[in-house]
Amino acid sequence: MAAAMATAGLLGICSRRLLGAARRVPAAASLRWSSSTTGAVVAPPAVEKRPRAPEVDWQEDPDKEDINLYEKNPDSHGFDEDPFIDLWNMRVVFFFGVSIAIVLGSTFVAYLPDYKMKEWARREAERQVKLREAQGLPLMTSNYFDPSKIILPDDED
Amino acid sequence: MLKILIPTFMLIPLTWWSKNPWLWINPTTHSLLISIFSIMLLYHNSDLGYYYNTAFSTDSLSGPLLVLSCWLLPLMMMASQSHLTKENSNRKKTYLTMLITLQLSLIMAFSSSELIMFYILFETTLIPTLIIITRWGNQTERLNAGLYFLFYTLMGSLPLLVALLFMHNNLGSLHILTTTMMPNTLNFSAPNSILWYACMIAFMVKMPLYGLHLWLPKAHVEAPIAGSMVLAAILLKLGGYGIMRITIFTEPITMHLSYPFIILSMWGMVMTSSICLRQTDLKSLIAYSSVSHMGLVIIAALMQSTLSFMGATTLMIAHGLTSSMLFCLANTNYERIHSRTMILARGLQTILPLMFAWWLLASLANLALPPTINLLGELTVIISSFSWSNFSIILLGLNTVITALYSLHMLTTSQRGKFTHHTYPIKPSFTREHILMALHLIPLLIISLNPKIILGITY
Amino acid sequence: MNFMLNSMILLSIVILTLPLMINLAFPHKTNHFPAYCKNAVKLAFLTSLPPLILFVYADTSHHTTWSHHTSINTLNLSMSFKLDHFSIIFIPIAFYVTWSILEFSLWYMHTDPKIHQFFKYLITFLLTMIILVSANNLFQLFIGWEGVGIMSFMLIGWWYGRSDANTAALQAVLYNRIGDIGFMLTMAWLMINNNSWDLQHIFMTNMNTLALLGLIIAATGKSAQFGLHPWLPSAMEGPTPVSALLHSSTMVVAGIFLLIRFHPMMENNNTALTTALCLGATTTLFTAMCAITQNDIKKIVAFSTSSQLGLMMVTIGLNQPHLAFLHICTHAFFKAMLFLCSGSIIHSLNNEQDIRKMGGLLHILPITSSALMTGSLALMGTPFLAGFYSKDSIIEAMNTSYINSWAMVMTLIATSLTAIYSLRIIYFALLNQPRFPPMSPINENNPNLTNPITRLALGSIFAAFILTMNIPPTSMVPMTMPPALKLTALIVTIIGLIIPMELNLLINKLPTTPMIHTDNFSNMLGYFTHLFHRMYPLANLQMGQHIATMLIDLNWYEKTGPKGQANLHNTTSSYITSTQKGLIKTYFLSFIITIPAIFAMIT
Repeated sequence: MAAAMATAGLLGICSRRLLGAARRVPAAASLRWSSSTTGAVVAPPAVEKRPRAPEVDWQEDPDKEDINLYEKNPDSHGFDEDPFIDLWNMRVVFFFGVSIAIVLGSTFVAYLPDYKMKEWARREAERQVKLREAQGLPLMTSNYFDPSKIILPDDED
Repeated sequence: MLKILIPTFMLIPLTWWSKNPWLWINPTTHSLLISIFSIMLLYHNSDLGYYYNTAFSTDSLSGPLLVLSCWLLPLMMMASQSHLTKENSNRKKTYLTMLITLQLSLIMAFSSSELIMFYILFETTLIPTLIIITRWGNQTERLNAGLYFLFYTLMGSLPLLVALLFMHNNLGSLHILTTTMMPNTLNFSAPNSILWYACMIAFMVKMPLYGLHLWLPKAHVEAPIAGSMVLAAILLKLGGYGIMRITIFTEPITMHLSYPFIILSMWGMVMTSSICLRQTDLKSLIAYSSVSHMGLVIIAALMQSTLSFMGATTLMIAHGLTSSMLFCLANTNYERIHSRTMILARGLQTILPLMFAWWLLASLANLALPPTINLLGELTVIISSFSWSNFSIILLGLNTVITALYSLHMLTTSQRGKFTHHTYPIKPSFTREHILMALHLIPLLIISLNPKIILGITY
Repeated sequence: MNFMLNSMILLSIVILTLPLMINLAFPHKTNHFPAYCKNAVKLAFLTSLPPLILFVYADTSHHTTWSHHTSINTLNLSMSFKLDHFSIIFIPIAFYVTWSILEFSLWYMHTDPKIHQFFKYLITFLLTMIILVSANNLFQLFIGWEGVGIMSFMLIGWWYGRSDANTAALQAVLYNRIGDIGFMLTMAWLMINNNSWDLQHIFMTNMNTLALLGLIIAATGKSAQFGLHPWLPSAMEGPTPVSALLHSSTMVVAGIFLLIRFHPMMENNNTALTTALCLGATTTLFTAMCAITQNDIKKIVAFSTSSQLGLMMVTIGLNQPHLAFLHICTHAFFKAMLFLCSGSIIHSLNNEQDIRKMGGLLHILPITSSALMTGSLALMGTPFLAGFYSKDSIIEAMNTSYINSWAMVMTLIATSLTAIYSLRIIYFALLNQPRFPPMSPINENNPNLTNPITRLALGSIFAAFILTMNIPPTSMVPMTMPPALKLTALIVTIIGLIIPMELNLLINKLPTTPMIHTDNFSNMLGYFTHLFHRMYPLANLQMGQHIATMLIDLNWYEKTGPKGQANLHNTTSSYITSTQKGLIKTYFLSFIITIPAIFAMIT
């Protein structure tokens, strides 16, 4: 009796799964309900079975249609029900995802030849600085090109 | 570009002609191959980018985003495998077709060099996304979410079309390359400001700017996992990408008109972060955190300094991978608990210890722990806005604090604490889920080691 | 010789990473992993000794750049190490302390099913700490800085089933993150104005007050200075080895360490120095006051740590960074040892942390008791123990400098309070009759328990002597002063010893009076946590819920936006439809009214 009451207490709190279990316990049949408002104790008729509680699907319940892939196939990778397809799907994803994409991709990214030629630009700038220091020129001039090399059209044209 | 586009297009017949057991394997494999090929787009030997033909070009801004969208397709497929197990094969094929169409339009949107073309593809992405959300979402609210999604985005982008047509009329071309060379000034005047608002508002809705963000949490929450992933990872980035592209046309008026938007998104970041602190719904929390992070991108894109553009690009890629991973993690919880409510999935570290590792790393990436690129992005944005105004550090700093708080709150609530008894019949985690997380996280770490490839056009 | 300095230090860091690598490679071989970790740290300590000796005798210091990470515009980020005075001395000390603590954890955590993971976390923490102290650029320093913060989160929340532990972990991250705003501010300022995050580049220029205040905020958060201090006592929810390693000897000194690193920038800025001084003085006094009424043995030691951190901050404010650094070094030994002793006591008394339920341990835990005694004496600054060399010099330096006398008085009072709370632990835990249940599992035979404590006790006795004898102070330390000033520290401490003993005797002879207030300033932690941990979170969360979510999002944005539109159109369309229901009479009626009206208007 006390066990049944305790079970009833648990029922209200969380789990519908437990309700199913409790229903199977014979003691649950003689459950006594005490109304919370009037305090009246309602005992179910001894012979007549209580109507089944309405099947409410709680959102947090494990879905009845939920397929636990591990039950059918303990080695499941979660891709497919069919173990063969499952295995191949896993292999394919690992091969192309990790072995090819991640490995080759990271190699490619790591060994990019001078992204946007920044290193070249820096080397060139340092060379220029050295050259200009050696020649005693100012490090920077406003002329981007050597003015003598620019051929401008004559004014007459 | 066709080397990526045609295989992506051919994924559709591949999907439809695949035999039933191989329905997932074939598209996954081939989309992975496409993404491998797309990695080539990361390399740029100069500032100019690649011009394939008159319609398509990529540069170092669109390159990383393209790679990201190519990479996300196989991940989306893997993520939705268990979600769709109960559907019949035709519906699965339709779903995959939608994902592939979305991918196709995204690739074309990012690589189109004409703004009208960009606009058309920008709108095209709405259709498959809408179908994914409203058909494969989990609850009836998905219809409402789809409505919000469509209306907000369409209402925002109609003025853009008008503005683009007007500008095309004036300039004769909306080609990105030619317009960068054209002397085009949009001086400060009333009609010009209307033009500016018309150009911006579409992208502001897409980003979304605080105040125009209502569609995003709804769409994220109701969308199936692939929808959430692609929304968070790429569709939002269309907005940032668009702002960075279109501000070329709207100089120098942006300087004057961007102030309220910058302030609004700074304020909005703090507000949305504090909304995150009160969320009971896991997906909604992640969605609001996306809004908050995108606020940073808006600030950076409107700030228009070299540094802020770098920050915006970096943050877009970083956030794309991180938020997509967070959505995947939320989905693994959802598939076990069948609820998005955080309080129903507590103490999972005890049951799924490896999942905890992914949760931890994803949360740490989300709160921008150094040396991830999230930090590099946030730091560059903070620096550029600090140089814009010293006081901005107060709001941005506050936001980093709250971001850390809600990320770790999410981690603590879902993974730590005592484990509840109704989670007892929980399924163990699958290889599929682990590889999914790994494929999000490893690229993030690789880029963190070598961030120059995603620093964008101003690098 | 230089190559040896570099390579040995880096070798020791590599040795430190070995356990992590091995764990990655063989994740299931966890049986001997904890002991292996301990040995790796021991080996790393031994490897880091030759560089220390080299530094002492050849005064070599170095910075090395390993690899270029990335460039943002002209800002180069590279992996670089600065092996100078501070890092070369601190690294062996950190290794030594960690070695002892790991060995202690072998005993303390041996029942924990995830002990290997615990060791892995500790090693990861140590690695981030080493990154922090040896970083030569601000970005790398930030990696270590955030790394220790996150590892502290993980380790405080080690017993993650307890909600207290989770809250404490979150609290630590929150306060550290507030400090990080300052760090980011400084990084932003330096990026804009100096265009470099490399320390030697920064030191060639100047920093303004704003940037220095950013650093002070960062240090406030990390080193639990006043205002951002409550996380440190809460962090005692973690296992005792964690408290010993993170929250006394290494992680919490990171803030002070940062300011020491940046002292070339601070020494000419009086605003920053005064801020540091006053902040430190407030912290040291406030936390010492909190410490004297705590009953939890770990909380007392935690508050005393906070108080010592305040003292270090005062030293920074005094412009004596080297003394602050010396205090970090000496403090690491005796504070770690005090924690290990309290861990030993707690474990022996079946997880009893309340000092009122201890007593008489002097006879049953002799090694722990003598170590506790030594540590407390060293903490008080008893001559020729570790604390003396640093603390006495700090107070001398303070007495002879022209500083804020308010700060000086605060610090002196805090110094005498140090004696009070140290004596209180000794008095309650070690002396008198036992007040604990008779069936306590008291045992002090395990070498994993006694060895680390003994080793740290040796350190607390000799380390400071060795350090001060071999490494000359690089900043000016006053040499001559009147005897009164010279003896201030001692006198103040002795007063602090005598007064409470007298008070204690007095109270024992008083007639028992009922206690009227139990919520005094000191034992309620200055009402600080009660105010700030309720008001601010409540305000923030209410803002999040009421203003951000309900008012703005759901009302303004949604009601006036999409829902408002829908309502508007619904009502208008229903009005329009209701007039268009084919009611021919109504239409004619309206014509009868409107047609004459129009005629009237026309004519």
